[in-house]
Amino acid sequence: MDLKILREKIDGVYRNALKEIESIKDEAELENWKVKYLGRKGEIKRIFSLLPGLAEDLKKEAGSMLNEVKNKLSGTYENARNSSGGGEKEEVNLSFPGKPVFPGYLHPISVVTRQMTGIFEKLGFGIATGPEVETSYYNFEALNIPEGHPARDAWDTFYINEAERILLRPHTSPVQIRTMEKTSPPLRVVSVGKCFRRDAVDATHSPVFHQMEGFMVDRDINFSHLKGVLTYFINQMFGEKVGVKFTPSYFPFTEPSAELSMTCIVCKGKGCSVCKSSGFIEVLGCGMIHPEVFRNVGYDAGKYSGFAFGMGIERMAIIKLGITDIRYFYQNNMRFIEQFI
Amino acid sequence: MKYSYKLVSDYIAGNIGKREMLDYLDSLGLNPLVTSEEDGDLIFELETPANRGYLLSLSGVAREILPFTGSALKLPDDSLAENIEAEIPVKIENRKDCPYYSCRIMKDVSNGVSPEWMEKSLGKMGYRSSFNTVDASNFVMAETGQPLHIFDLDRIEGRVEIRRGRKGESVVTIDGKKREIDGDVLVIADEVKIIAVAGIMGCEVSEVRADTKNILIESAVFNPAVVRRGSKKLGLTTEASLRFERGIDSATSVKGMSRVTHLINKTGKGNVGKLTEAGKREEKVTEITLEVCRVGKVLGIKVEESFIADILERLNFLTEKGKNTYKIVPPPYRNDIKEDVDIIEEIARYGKYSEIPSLMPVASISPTSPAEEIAKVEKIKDIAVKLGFSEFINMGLTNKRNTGLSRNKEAVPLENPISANLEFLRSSLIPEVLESIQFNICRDFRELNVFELGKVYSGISTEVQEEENLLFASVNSGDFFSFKGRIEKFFSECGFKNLSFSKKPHVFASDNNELALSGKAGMGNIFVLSPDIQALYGLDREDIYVCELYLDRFIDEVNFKRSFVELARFPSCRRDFSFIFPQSIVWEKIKNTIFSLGLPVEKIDFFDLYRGKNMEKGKISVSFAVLFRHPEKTLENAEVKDFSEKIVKAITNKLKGRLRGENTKC
Repeated sequence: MDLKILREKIDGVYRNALKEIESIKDEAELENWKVKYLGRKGEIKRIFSLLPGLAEDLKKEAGSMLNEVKNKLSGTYENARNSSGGGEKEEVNLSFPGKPVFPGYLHPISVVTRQMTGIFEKLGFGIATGPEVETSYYNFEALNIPEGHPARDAWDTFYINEAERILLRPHTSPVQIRTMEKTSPPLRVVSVGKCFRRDAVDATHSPVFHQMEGFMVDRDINFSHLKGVLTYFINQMFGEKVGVKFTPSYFPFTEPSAELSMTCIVCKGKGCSVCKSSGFIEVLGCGMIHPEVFRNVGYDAGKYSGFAFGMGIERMAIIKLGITDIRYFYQNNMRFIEQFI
Repeated sequence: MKYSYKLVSDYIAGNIGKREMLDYLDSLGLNPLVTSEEDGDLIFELETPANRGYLLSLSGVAREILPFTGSALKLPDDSLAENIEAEIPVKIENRKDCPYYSCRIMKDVSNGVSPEWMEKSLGKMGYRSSFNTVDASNFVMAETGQPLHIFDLDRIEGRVEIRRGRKGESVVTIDGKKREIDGDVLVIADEVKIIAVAGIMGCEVSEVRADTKNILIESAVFNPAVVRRGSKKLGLTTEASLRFERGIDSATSVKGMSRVTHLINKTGKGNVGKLTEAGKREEKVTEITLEVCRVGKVLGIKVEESFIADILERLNFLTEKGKNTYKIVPPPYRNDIKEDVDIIEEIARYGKYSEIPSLMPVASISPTSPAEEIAKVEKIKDIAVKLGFSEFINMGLTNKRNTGLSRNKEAVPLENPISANLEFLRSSLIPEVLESIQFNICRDFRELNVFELGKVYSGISTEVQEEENLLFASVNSGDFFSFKGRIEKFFSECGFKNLSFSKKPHVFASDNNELALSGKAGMGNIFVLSPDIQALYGLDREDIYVCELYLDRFIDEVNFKRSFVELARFPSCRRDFSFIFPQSIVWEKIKNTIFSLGLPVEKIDFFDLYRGKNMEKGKISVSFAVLFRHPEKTLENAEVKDFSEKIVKAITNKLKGRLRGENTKC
């Protein structure tokens, strides 16, 4: 007898047993079933008795097959006995919770970044990246922040080698210079990445954060376009009803410069502790790209004009998602991460 | 400094309301923040931009408001009468460091308390009251923006010199601290000693004291960059240094000198000496041409020429009107005005940003650069999430212990860290991820599947290598092979067909396999975390598997292009095999041996490894299924039987495997 025939035999017994137990009505019948298949002279035992006549390896294989079937049928018997209380099948109680599942989650910084870049991509902005270890030239000088200028105090910078002017970028603006050096206008680009500043960690400060930088250069770009594009962005991000306000500001690489504030999400503009009773919260800095920046990258400042803007990703996430402490972003607590999709 | 409504109003001819003043300042973006209200006055702070040093003065803030109201600036009385001949010789070592220096002797001054109005005014601005002479200098600094210094004349020996410090020199500044001086610091010295750190702080040796009778008043212009460098070097920022850094003009200097002389004379009498000057009252004039059409071109709104002319006049800009242009000379205190856009910003500030419409630009559609790599990285993150991994983002700044573990990489330290915990750039993603895992386990989140995608850094400070790494980790969620299965799936999703693993030691691992892609080694490592590392990170009791990938090395070959593969039309036939092999058998070899036979094998699926009691020592039983399928016909039983025999033969001969069982599933 070869294994194939034996297997068919065993399978046959198993199938019959399952079929018969379906139609069993009471405990007596169940006991009879047990005797028939699992009893001392039952079907399983009968096939076992055939084994001694077989070849050694066949015997082993068939033995394990038989044991498996025997265990399965014993389980079937137990189940049937347990559920045959009233002779009827017990109804499954569907009210109990399902088994938990564990899908993967993107970090909220990635979630919010994608929302933000998505809005600009709709307007035809491309995406660029740049190095985190930067030179002072791209980070400061090319952006019209000369050495020894007090404006540098706004970027408290980590140095890797100050004498050689190598630093960790404190903003994503150097990507603007790198992109413009490589590409001629017209262009519109956003760039997102990690930035570093010498801020001690507390609820609202982190030495590491993410920033989005964006700019658009073409003929005839003016301040009204800056307002138009950024107002569109804020309305896409926070809703059409959000009010937007532009006030004068100062950045060495833009002139005129502006700061965008929007109506406070918490108090809806009535004034609260979050907006320091002003009804507005500061969201981002922006302005018309300074002609000096154009000259530094070899653009004709008489022919082209453009606007640029920069904003913190964590700040946007904090406003958008109502997160109360910037430290959450870097603790990687799963109970934090799994809240966002 | 702090500002007060009443003190600013003193410089404005005509009346202006409190609310009105704050609203103007607010619309200029100076964000006034009222800190207190007392006896009908408002005390407020301003956010003054770094390029507008003139706003660090009461008269400067008054000037900022005037264009709104059209009123005139009310200048304070600075009349004086020199009545003695006394003078002190002054020498400037380098005019670049100090373009203009003036000083004046006053003798027989009564040095006592200030009048009440002075004390009160200083208090509102946040300054402490001292002797009337010193108070006058502080008050005039707040009025005009010109920092002034008062020396005790009798403690100055010989002439006054403005020179660089010398290595080895040191001073005790009036805050009582001893400071080392070197060539980066500009000082004021007499013939034997340093009497002040120029533009930053005076020294104790020449400080005004209760018994001071004769004084020397200093009003100067120092090079902003030199003052800034000195201030950074000494770690000493003062009201004076803030103003000098932002730039002072000699006209302001002259005005400051006469006003402070007037005030000291008024409060302390005394005799007024002659004004000594060195260097030049600078006459550098910036002439800017503004084409009227540029205003509209930059702002996107038509601005009436009359408005432009009006604002320029109210801002005290000298203008000469040409045909559709203005030639403009800003006043000397406006060193922020350098080209036409600076003037356009002024026009916009006073015309209110809110008047400019919000419009969408009309732009040619220019296809943006594909940025393929950025898109790939995002897709890779999606695949990781799809496979059940959640994203971690760590700072990337870490401590010496963490970077020290990757011995083969030179970690990059920061020159000016803020703490020892954030002193180095990470050289591997592993330590920070382990710390985050431990953080979660402490909060009873024990089963984790995580990934991080980020930069690691290595090299010497002038040549830092930035590499993008990708790390997967599985914590208490299944065995190593269920982790490895997902890594394999990750690579097949990324379009890699040929994945191989070879044993290689790794500093974080007890058992490690190095990963090769399409035959290229060194693409990553997959391993069981070593007990030492587990103990180090407080993870002794967890089952942790890690896969570290060097993304930059293979991202170019990541391929998400897919094209339809015709579904098989003929049935497959499966054969299961169990072989006994020596324990050291490598799965790759079994697979390659079968594929190399040239049979119509679609795939080989490993499904069991057994090393139980019934096995010979040093042997394992490996079970796998081979799926045969011919693209053009249904395979006959006899053919499959023949294939199976060939497989058994090849494995027996080439790999010393012994057939344990074969099974048919067609």
